[in-house]
Amino acid sequence: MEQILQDVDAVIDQWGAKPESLLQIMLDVNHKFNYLPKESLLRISERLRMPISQVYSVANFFKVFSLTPRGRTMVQVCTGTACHVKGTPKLLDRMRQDLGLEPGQTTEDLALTLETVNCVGACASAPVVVVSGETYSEMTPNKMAALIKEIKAKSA
Amino acid sequence: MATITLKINGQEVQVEEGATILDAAKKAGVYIPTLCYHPYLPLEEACRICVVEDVRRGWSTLVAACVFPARQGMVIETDSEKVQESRKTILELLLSDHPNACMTCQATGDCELQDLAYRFRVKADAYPGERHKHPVDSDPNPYLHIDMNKCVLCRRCIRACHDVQGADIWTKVGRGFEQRISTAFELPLQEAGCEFCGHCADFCPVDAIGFRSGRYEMRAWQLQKGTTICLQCPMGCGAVYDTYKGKVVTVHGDFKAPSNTGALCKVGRFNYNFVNTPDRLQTAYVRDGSGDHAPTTVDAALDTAAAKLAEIVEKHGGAAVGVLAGGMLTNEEYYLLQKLARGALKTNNVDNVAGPWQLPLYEGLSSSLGWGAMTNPLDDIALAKSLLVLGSNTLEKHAIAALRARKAVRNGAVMIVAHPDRVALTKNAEKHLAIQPGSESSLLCGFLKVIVSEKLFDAAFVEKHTQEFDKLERSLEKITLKDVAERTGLTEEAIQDAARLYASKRPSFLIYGADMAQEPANESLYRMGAALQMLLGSVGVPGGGFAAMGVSGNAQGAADFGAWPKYLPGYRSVSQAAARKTVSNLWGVEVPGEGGLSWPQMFEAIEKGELKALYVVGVNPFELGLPERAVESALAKLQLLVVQDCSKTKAADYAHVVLPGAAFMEKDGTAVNCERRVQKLTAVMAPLGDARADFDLIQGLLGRLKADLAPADRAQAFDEAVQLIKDMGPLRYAALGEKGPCWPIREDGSGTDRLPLSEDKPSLKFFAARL
Repeated sequence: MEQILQDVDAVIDQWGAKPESLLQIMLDVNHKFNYLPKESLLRISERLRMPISQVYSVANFFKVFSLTPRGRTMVQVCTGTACHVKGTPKLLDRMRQDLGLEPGQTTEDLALTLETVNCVGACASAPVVVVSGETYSEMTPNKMAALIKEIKAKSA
Repeated sequence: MATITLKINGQEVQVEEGATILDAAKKAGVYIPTLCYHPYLPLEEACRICVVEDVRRGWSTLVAACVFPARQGMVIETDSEKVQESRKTILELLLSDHPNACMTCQATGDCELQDLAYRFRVKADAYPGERHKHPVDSDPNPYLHIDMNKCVLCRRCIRACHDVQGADIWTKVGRGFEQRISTAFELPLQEAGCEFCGHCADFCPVDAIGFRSGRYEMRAWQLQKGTTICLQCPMGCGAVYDTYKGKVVTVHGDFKAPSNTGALCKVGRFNYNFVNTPDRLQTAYVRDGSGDHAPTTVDAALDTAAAKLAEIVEKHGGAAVGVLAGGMLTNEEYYLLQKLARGALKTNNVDNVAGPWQLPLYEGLSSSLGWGAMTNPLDDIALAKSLLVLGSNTLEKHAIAALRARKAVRNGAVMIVAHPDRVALTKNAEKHLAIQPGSESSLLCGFLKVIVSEKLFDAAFVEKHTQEFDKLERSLEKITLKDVAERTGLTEEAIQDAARLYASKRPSFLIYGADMAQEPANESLYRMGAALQMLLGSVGVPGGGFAAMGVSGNAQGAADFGAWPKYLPGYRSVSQAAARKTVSNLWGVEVPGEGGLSWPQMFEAIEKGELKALYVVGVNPFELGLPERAVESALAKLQLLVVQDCSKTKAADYAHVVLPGAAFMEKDGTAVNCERRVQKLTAVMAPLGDARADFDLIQGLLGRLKADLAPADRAQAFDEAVQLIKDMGPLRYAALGEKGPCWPIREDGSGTDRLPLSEDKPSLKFFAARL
């Protein structure tokens, strides 16, 4: 906790404790912890002398921010039309079955966060999954399970 | 400013540049529906129900009338087919995610969405689709009922919370269909720091945020509305009461009222149990031979009270009688009460609960500034560039001053709050000085020391408008910051920094609210406060002044109209023979010259057996902050206790005669708020049962004791009183309108908002500072 606040203070000092710097500060804090811890928002509100309701509202508005801890690896499953038709729901079912993970949720060990995206423009390879910028084509539930296993192993 | 001419529905309208299309339409008498728009909130453009057609050459476009500026030569159609269709669609889309449960909705009959849907005859099910399912009554607080399913996302609540109250609790979260109104981290209101002012509910056009009171008991059209002045604190807010069968259901701010312009505090909004309580007195009681209270008629009780009072005065003299009034009486009642004491009971033992706090305020300020009250109207606080807030927990005790201070801060002012606790206002402050309780006076002394020794003051203003600066300077030489630091519990640096900050921006406003929970300040505090403002050239100028506020709703009126021991009406000193003579001549009876007792002294005198009869009006002696045992013992000792109140208090148990009085919203009369504004009260409902307004009861007593002293009615009492009050001389009861003037009143009946500064000779005076 103390460490979090120290880090947040360092970011605020870098940008200056003024409302105009809010987004930059939040981006850096979000980058540092991979999400915006509650204490960090309270600290930002206090130091920038902005109402916490406003800070919270901004944190809520942009998709780049997360208010819950996120995994070290982002797993994005495409739910575009082509991928959907070619079996994305089955991939998500497998995730639910194996890890109890719904889209938007993170594994307990913070290894990965599962997300859905709406079309990555690779319909010919549907269904696709994007992991840390790398695209995996023509996924099946089994291939998906293997991929996750690999990510978790790497993360541990 | 330039004038613009535009055409609305073929009709030419002229407006000032900067006006919106909606402003122009209002001026032309053309109706444009609105929903998110509210005349007392900043513009938002959230709902677009106000769309109108802006017809250009060959084409046209739809614009939102509430925000779109009127331009020269504009051609606007408010009722074209395009507009009609568009409005209808907007409404249908709104209704597509609305419960449409008007039959069981509390807002029915008082719902802006319902009115629009009715007017434009829209179908509720034009767009079937997904609907939100938020929990109904989702917040456990005792005041507000939250049902976000009904929310239309107009964001009035957010704007009211920010712009009126300055609490910033509500905000919008999520985007698109997921957007909703919430608190930070979705916390319950209480935990989110909500101040429960109720403004969000007041502004909500539907029933998303509504009041709990009256819910499922009565419909909107069964309520009776009445507007009067709230007397629960010295702000003197205009308040609209919704009543039903003799009970207050909800209270709303009066937008037309000059002191609060629609705002109310938690107390004014939700504290009306003293009116609704089943303990209301509806008849008089007299203690019979066996010591029990027997119900009787009011007239019979008045007969008994008058006879017994006369008997005691006869036997022991006027000094054996005391009269004590509460803080929520009208001017006429205070005037009559002190007339009763001085003219009929031959004593100056008359006081009101706020008296001991108001006295140093009057004496300190009148000697320094020339008048003994607040220097500026409350609204002026919002114009300040720096603020120092001392004394009471301002948001709770003197809320409007706190709201105006927050507004100043939003406009860039710096605020310093000095209070032993981290009161809610500190969240808006640049600095919080956690001073020792009761050390406000020392802190002011420290500010004076820093500002004078570092020459941070406005030398030109001091030269031109003030006298005896050297006296202040000399007294400060003997005071060290070390002493100030010791008294206040702050460091010397903290005092220096704060004083420099306060002096760095002008105009500055000093806010000091007295607090009944604390001992009354001495007049030196008020003189030093005045001195501080004089040094900074911030007295009687827009945004610069001293907001000195008393402890009760009509504390100012009680003082003005003489309901305290030391001064007759109009601040005429009891100890001066000439002053007594003026009053004696008007009344036709001799005013006693013997000094009177303040209420704390009265209780001491009862204990000593010197005071034998007490007439208590509109106050519970057990709520004065005295030890309960001491009050019990004192009341038991009295030969006569007359208790007049609107509800049955513990003191009534000790009374020989109990008279049923009324609450302030059941009264006609006038009151003076802390900004010296003389305002009219209009009863919003009748007192219960046989109860009567205190005026009528006091008048009944006076009539029985000395008939020729009793004025015929309130108007006569007021008009008689102002003959003694120089600053109100030209006022007449009948001529008092909706917006009361601030005294001193000019010959033409208009008021004086700010302390005038003489151009010819210095009118302000410094006194020696005291640690």
